[in-house]
Amino acid sequence: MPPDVSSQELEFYPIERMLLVGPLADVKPLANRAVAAGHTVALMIPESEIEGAETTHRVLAAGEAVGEDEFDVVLELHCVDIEAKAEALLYLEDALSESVPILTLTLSISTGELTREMLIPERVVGVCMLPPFGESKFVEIMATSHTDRAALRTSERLFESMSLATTVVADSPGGVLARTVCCLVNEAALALQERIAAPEDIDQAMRLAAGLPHGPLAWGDRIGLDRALAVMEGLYAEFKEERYRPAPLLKRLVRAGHTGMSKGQGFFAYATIS
Amino acid sequence: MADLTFQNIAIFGAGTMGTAVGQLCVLAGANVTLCDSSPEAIRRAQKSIEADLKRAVAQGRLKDSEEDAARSRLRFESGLVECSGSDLVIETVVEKLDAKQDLLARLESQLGPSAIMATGTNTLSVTAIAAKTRFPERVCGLHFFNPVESIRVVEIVAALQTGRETLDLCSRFIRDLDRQPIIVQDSPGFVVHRCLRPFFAEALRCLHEDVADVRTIDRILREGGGFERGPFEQMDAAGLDTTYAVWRAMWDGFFHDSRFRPHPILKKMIEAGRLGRKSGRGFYEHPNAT
Repeated sequence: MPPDVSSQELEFYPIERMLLVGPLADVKPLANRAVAAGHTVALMIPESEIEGAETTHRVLAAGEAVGEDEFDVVLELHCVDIEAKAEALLYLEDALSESVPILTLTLSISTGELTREMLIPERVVGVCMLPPFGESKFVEIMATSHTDRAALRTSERLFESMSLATTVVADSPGGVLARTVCCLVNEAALALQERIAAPEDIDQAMRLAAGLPHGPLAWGDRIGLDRALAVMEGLYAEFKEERYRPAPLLKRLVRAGHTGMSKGQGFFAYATIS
Repeated sequence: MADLTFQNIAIFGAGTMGTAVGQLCVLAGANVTLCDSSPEAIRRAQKSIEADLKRAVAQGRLKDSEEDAARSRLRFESGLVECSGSDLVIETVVEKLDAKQDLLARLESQLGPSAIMATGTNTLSVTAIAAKTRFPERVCGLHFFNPVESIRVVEIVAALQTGRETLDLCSRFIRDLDRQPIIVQDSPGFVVHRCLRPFFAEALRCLHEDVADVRTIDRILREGGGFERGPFEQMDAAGLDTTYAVWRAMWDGFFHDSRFRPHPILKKMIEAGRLGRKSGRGFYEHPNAT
């Protein structure tokens, strides 16, 4: 029996050359994982982060010109700054050839919302994983009604090549995992703000009695409180429900720049690595 | 085993929780009287504790002499409401406010001036229970988690009236039991039930919104999030009716704040008699359950 050429074609998607777009802190850990998996990577980071960006990867400034066939696949990772995200997607759509799938992080906004203004929404796939991305184990992949199968299959192959488990879920901001965990963080922040218990006690009780791998407050500090807040605001914007109202304490900490472990201060204080 | 914070403990209500707490206290070296108005409940409690002690001996976790000593420290009483000489009374009777208030008011008159009374409620206001006693500063909540023998943390609930000394003594007592005490203010759901609510609520909402199915949601949270069990697995294990009762209490306690709105899927499942593992079916099938 002759081989079925059409299905063979469907099974082949180049994923070798990756472009990662977003803030340095978000793209770097995934770039490291991609390189370890044998991909070549380039990082496209905000202009302001170029100077002093300590990385061995090739670095481009946001909006810098690239060859339209220079990359096989793009992973766009903005989460907190939705404006920068929209700008990046419009740029990528324009700069890269039509066949290049664009994978965009849907922690704080749905894929459908992001692709509304795009000319070729077929190539856009939503991906949702829980920060910090260096430790993520699982990727929830989201398609819109426009997304084509090849783009979806490409994202599955890409993450599997990086030893990340995948599953396809419906397009929804925060997916299942980030939505659930950030709501846990938010509820713990509310309990803390109401002084129901001491922060260490809240975390210890939740680990010992509820089987959480981290206490919810320490977990928020690991995720980054700015990101956790962005997830809550994304849920609030999507569902317009009071239940997703961010805890005032969470907002206060983020406004003060106390966004968690990477900054040395969040719900808890951390010894900073200098 | 010397110098226990409370040497003489009376427990009222020999359900699953009261029985397990009684067993824990007796093994820590206290003299325990387990009381229940129902002789049947007492028979079941006695059988359960004796079987557990025998198993511990068979498995080498307990010496024969320790088993004998533990049994000699344990008394069972049915029908009698008597606790004179106790340093600590714990009530784990039915979750009804007036039942708990009446019981504590009756017990209080028999107790010495330094004795502590604790309620095991997980849905009612400890402040409201304490309010009907003469010395509410000596009343607090002790919230053990199921299964008592393996969960190593206990919430000590400070009602509005609870005295500092009561909290200190109870913290020491919980450490005597080799458990970690967590002091929490009296607020619906305390810390654990409250802060865990989104785990169940968002899972049910994701299911309702058709983001993913039951198995996929559990798998994402287990494998991706590192939770010991998925939310649906956990609800099936705890019992959907139990989950719903705790949820309803928080919903009432927070005056219908939308964060605590119970999910209609849960109610529908309960209406169908699908209560989880204990009924043979919940979100999953449990064919071997009794």
